[in-house]
Amino acid sequence: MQFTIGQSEFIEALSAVANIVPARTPLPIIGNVLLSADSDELALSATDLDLSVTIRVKAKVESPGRVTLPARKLTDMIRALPPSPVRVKGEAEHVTVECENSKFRVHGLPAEDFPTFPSLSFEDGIAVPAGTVERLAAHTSFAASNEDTRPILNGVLWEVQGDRMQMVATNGHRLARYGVPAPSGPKKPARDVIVPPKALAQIGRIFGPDDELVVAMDEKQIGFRGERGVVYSRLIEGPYPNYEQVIPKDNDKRLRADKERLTAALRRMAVMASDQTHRVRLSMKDDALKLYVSTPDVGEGSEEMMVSYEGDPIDIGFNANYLLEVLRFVDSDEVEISLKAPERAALVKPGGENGDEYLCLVMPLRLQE
Amino acid sequence: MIPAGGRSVEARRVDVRFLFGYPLLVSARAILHVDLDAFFVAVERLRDPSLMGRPVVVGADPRGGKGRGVVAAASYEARAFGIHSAMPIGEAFRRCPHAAWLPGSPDLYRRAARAVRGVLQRFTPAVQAVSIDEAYLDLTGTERLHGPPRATAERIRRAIRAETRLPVSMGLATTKAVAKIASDLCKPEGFLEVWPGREAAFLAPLPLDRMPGIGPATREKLWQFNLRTLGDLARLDPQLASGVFGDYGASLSARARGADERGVSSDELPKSVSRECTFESDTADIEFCEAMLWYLSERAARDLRSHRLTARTVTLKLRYRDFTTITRSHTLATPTDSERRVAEVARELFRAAYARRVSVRLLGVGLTNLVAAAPQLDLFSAPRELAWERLIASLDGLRDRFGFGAVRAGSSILLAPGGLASRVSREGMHSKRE
Repeated sequence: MQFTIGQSEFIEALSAVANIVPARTPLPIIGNVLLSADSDELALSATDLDLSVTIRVKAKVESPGRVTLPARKLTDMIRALPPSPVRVKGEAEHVTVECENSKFRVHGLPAEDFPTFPSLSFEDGIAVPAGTVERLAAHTSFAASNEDTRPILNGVLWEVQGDRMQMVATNGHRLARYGVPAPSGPKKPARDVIVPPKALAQIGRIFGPDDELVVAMDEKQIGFRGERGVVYSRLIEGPYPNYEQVIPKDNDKRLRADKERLTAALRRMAVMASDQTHRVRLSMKDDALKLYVSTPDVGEGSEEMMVSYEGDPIDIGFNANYLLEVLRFVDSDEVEISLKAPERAALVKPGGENGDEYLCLVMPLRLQE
Repeated sequence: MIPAGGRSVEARRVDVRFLFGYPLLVSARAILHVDLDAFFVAVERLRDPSLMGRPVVVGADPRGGKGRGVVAAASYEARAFGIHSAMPIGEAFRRCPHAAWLPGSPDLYRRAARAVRGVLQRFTPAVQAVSIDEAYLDLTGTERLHGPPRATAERIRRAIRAETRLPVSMGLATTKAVAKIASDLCKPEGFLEVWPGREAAFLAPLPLDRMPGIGPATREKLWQFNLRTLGDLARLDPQLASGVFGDYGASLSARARGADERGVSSDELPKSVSRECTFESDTADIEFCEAMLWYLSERAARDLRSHRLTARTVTLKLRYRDFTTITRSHTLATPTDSERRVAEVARELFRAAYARRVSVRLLGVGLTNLVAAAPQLDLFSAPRELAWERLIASLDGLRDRFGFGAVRAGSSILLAPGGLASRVSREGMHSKRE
């Protein structure tokens, strides 16, 4: 095998695949990237066994072949090279890398030992722009759980049926849902799937926003294929909780506030909040919002801001971090928060026209009596 | 005997250490163990003074000698007949049929205990209540404020007398264990001070089981090595002690010499909560055992909630009739204060652990890994869990007013009318604060 590729193209592709390589692995081959050179293309592949990524880049292939090399060593090496053509040649354990006056010999592992990628048929797949998947994922993934108490909540629910395409994520304390009209064009009715956020995060990393993707899935896995490469991921199996049921429909108290000002005020209050609960208290009454925090052995803080508020006065507690996270993904100048009671979910939406695309729920914290 | 007063303070300053080369005078610790004498009986006598001077027994219904419960507390007059707590009520009745037999009034006892604690806390914030009728006070460094600790102890006794009319015994020493042994030795209404440096000499002549933590099983083992007194144990070569009894042996002989590093922790929050009970007769009735587990879980979860805590680890304790004891723990992903979850875990642990075809003598449910109750509400469990929470809150309210037995869960119905009293011989609760 022998190929030549520009250093900058090489490092760009390499770092995109190498980031999924686990830091520690009992299987040494998992720590390697697979380099396959064929005709005028180099394919770089990596896997953590749940998630597999292949990126294709143009290269001058002098002799086709496949090798695997340690991902971290190779990345560090290529990054340190000058911006000149890099030549890689050799087989299995004896691979040399040359660039200008530098020359390395790297120990690889046999390419035959590299795990095979899932076989999914992309023929019946659905076509989606990469930018849409990325936007849906970015607005929701943060809300997924990262504890292993309920594995199903570690994933993002992707609903592709019907005339809307939406993603939903929750950790049981807060929830985010982003929906857009389903892409038109030929598509086969597919299932709703639960995708690990790490897989979705690869989309923006590998594909451009305008890249057209074909998404294929079966019972256990999902594949995203585009011009630049393929991402395969294991799906999270099991029934997703009935989130529709917990979206409040009768929240009769409505707060509208400037997003930046509310965010800034919450950040200030959060400083004095308990490290465990991050509790802040929000009191709303007659177009005034009072934020208040009191933590034993730490201190107190309060701040009042003018807002637009309709409804009976209410006192409600929240984890400040949950509110701040949600506000970060609200893409409008104004935010609308509707409430029902101190122990019922708050509904957070962007103000203005795009109000229907995005919604978040935040469950309150009990206010100690 | 050295007379009281100034020299008492002087004598406590024995521990000379060096700080940056300068001698530093450090007061020995002054720990007071306050123990209410025959507490339940004393409270009953406040309510009914005609009980004064008579043998009084608080406990299960004796039913003319046929009762199957146990004695919860006995007055000193009753103790003269050989009656002691945890004795089967029938046997107690045969020993002294003419005693006054009372069923007990836990709420009244709790109120009295709170009043006593209020008095203690006026003297020092370092009050550690270890059970309803016992507390440790750290009087170290209170000389400038209250005078010598022995005088303070006397003032505490007078204050408790004046405000609650309850008798107490007190032990003053440099460690908790020695202070407790001292107060045990001088009951009732006594005061005993063990001087700093005299701990080992004080302990030496005492029988082994005076030391808290040495029960019948350990005593039996020690007897086999011809060890009869704490002095014998103290003289035991540490290497031999740990050779025979492991690390536990080394710590035993250190304790017999008066060593006890434990401090008085006024931290009100317990580190663990547990409930256990010994059956009056050993049982192999699985259903009955599981009903008992529900009951114990209810009690333990209740204790937890009263401290606004939640627990992550549930421990089952199972003792077979041959005293083989096993404990099994399960750690939950999210902490809980719900008896339902605790009971579910306890039941699973029991089903997995109960493997021998031997009947059960004791069951216990313990909760550890305690964290402050998280106030975060959950999106998905909201309706059902909130309903449970409301139910539990109402039950807690009812039980606060009318006692625990006022309402009973269906899952522990097997223990209902008389059942519990007749089949359970000893019920213990513990909130460990250290």
